[in-house]
Amino acid sequence: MVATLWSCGLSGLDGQKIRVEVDASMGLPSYDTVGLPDKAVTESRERVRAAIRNSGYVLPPRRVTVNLAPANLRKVGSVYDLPIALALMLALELIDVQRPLWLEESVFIGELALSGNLRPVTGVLSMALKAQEDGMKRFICPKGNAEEAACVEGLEVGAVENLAEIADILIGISQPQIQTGAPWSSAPSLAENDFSFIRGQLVAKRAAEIAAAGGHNLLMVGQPGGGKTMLARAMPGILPDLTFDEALEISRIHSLIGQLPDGLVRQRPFVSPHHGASVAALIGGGSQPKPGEISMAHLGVLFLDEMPEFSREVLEALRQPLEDGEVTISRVQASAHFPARFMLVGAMNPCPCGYFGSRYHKCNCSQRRIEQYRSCLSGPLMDRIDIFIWMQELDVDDYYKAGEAPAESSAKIRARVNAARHKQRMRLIDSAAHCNGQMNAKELEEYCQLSASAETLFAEEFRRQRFSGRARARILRLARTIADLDAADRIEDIHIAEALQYRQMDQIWG
Amino acid sequence: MGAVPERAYRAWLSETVSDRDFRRLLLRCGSAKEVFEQASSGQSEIHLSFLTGEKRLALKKQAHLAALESCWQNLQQNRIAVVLPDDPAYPPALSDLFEPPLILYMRGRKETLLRSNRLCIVGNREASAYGRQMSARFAEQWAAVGGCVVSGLAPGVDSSAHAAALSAGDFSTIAVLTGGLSSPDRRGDLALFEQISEKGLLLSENPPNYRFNRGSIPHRNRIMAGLCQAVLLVEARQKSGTQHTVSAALDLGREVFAVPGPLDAPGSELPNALIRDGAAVATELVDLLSAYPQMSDALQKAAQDKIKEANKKEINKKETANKERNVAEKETAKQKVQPICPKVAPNTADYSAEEAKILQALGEGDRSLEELATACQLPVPVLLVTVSKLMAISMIEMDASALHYRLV
Repeated sequence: MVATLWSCGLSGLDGQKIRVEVDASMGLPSYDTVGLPDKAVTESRERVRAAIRNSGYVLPPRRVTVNLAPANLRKVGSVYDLPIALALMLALELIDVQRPLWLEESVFIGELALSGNLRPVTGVLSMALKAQEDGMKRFICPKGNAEEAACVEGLEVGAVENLAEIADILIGISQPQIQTGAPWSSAPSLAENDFSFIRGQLVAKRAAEIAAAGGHNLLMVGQPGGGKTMLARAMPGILPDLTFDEALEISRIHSLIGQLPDGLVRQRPFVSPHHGASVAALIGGGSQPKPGEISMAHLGVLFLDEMPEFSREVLEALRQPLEDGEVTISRVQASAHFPARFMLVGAMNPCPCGYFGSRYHKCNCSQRRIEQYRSCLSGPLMDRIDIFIWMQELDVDDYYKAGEAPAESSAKIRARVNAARHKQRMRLIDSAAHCNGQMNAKELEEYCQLSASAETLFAEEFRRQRFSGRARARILRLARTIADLDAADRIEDIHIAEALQYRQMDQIWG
Repeated sequence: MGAVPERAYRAWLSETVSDRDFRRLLLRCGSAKEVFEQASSGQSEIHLSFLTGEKRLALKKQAHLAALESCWQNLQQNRIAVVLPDDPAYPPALSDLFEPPLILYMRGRKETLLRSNRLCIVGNREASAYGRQMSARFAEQWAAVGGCVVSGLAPGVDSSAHAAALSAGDFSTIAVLTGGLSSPDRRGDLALFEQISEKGLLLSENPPNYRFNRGSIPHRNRIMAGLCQAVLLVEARQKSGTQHTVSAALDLGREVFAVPGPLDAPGSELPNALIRDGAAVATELVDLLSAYPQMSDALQKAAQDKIKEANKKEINKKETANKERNVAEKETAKQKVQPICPKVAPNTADYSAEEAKILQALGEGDRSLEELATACQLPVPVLLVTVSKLMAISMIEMDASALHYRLV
């Protein structure tokens, strides 16, 4: 007899509905799994057998064939354990199903332990989204994944602890435990540092506020001990609150690699890979494509400390995702798209010894060495940086002076950032962009309306400083964000004038 | 082509072989003409025998009249003159050198050489505002008393010295270049280069198309030291190229002066160290005149008067901070256009309060944005907007490192 069930797999970030079919017939006892299974799927045979036996059922000797359709797609991982085991029990007529319709409207996923208990799997959020999209009513999953799956609205999520329990439900002697989604709310990111701890560096703080408000890429250049890393680590505290849709997008990626402990992600991610990271680690890779650090930083911050220390290959690989907001990983067996709309925050020293331009230390680097060091960051990459800031070490006097007046707290800055981001979201409601930093050329022309005085100033500076087209776009974007922070609808000359100053350094550094 | 002058042969030879071979060949053959003839005839090559086969082949390949002619024409086109040690235009002071240049290329006004009281002003490329100001101050005053300022046309102290000297009159400056005279050295100032070739003199011992290289800087520096009776060091770090000029000057018995600098600035290292080791301190022009006994007493007096006047003016400026001062300053600002760098913060009466604060702060020295924010106590957005406005009207600019702002 043949029994079929619905399950769900993953292809890249997207869920993929899989039909699990099991046929049991008379003949020489055997057990085969077909439909391009990987090693983990093939091995499910042993887990399924042991789990059924240990749940109190007796397996008769039969010729068993398991098929996972569509047969041309590669099946990976242990999510199919539960549906295979259930379908096998149905095919062998070990249980007498009282609710066939219920069965047909449900998707089953879960990994089996030999004892029959269910273990959580990764990527459940994407699977649940797919199930809901395809009109399935129910989603039966291990208890450990239930909270994550329950985030999807309009899907009944059944949390199950072991195989015997689900068998009882099918027979009709018990009811599934329905998991309800916890109400979602954004939480401010937990930063290691508060902005009020950072002394001085007023210009850098303002630049960080603008970067956070508009999602602009930021490069901090300065001497060791200038507070670059400290500022970057405080950045999560001023990032704007997440919306539900954004949270869902981020959570799907985190779910894929099993980093979604309880429910949806509530904070913007802050990812800071070490400079020894490989291209695959940063961009994503593997024979079965997995997201890299830049996708983990989707809608959050990717912080690259000591930027020139990263290998050139790695930095160049960032260019395409910085432009497109997603990354495509192509392998022989599969190719996958992962979103990667992150805000790049870079930090670097001005020269190899670190003290170029210092008031208190001597720099021993030759011009050649400095040029060599800076050339690690290619022009095309620098072109994608919106804000350049110079963070020099603090004078001792300034250090104490700066400590006198209490600096603004992260919470205060975040309130302004949130307001500015809200304006952007309203404006970009029909667009793929979430913030000013992501506007395309058309949106740029449409939304960056200059007042007459701003127009004059900009045209004049454009001639004087001979901006490239790309630099012009970057300045307009920046000015738009500054105007948003100012709650202004039109870009005034003061906004342009301020934006210009964040681009001064790129004449040499960009 | 009739009788080809020796200078043409020499220009050709200097373009064809390396500096070292040039000197050796001339010593052996006696003249460049002899070298040419031996290389082109191919019969008696006895004097060329020390060249390796490859070099000799290369030399022989170039030894034809067409090469000679094109080299000469190139010089004419670029208005570059060739001066040999026996020529009247060859500065006699250079014969003090251990190895005087066997050929000199000149471009510009040879009248400049008539000013025999030459002062070499040297310093670093990454000059501070103070360094540029001091360099300009000494150069201008020196040119005004009829002296000639010699320097190397590098960015920083050198360029300030040249420009300030030119502002005081023509024929007042000589730039000694490392590379050829067809274009300024790497990162050199093209506008200033042109200006000097019109009003002053450009000088080099290397052929026009000579590529700049680090190794030739000490050679150039020895010429700078040799040309002058004294070297004035404005600003430099220990172990900088400027040290070559100073040690060359000491070897030649030239006087060395140093401008004392603030103790905490990196550019004060070398001048202050030299002062400690016994170099003469230069605080005003009269200090320098002691090394130029041939300059007449009248000249000295004129210089002293001028300095006194200038000092009085500066003291007045500092003491009286009232309206009267503003008027006087405005007038002097009108009379004297300073092309290089202002000596004090510009008159702040015409500017808004924010602009005045920034100009005031920058008058004390170059500042980064962060330093301006602390110094001016302005909210950051206001500060940035004001800085942009000042940049738009070319009151301030970024320095070469693009890290600090300075007054234009």
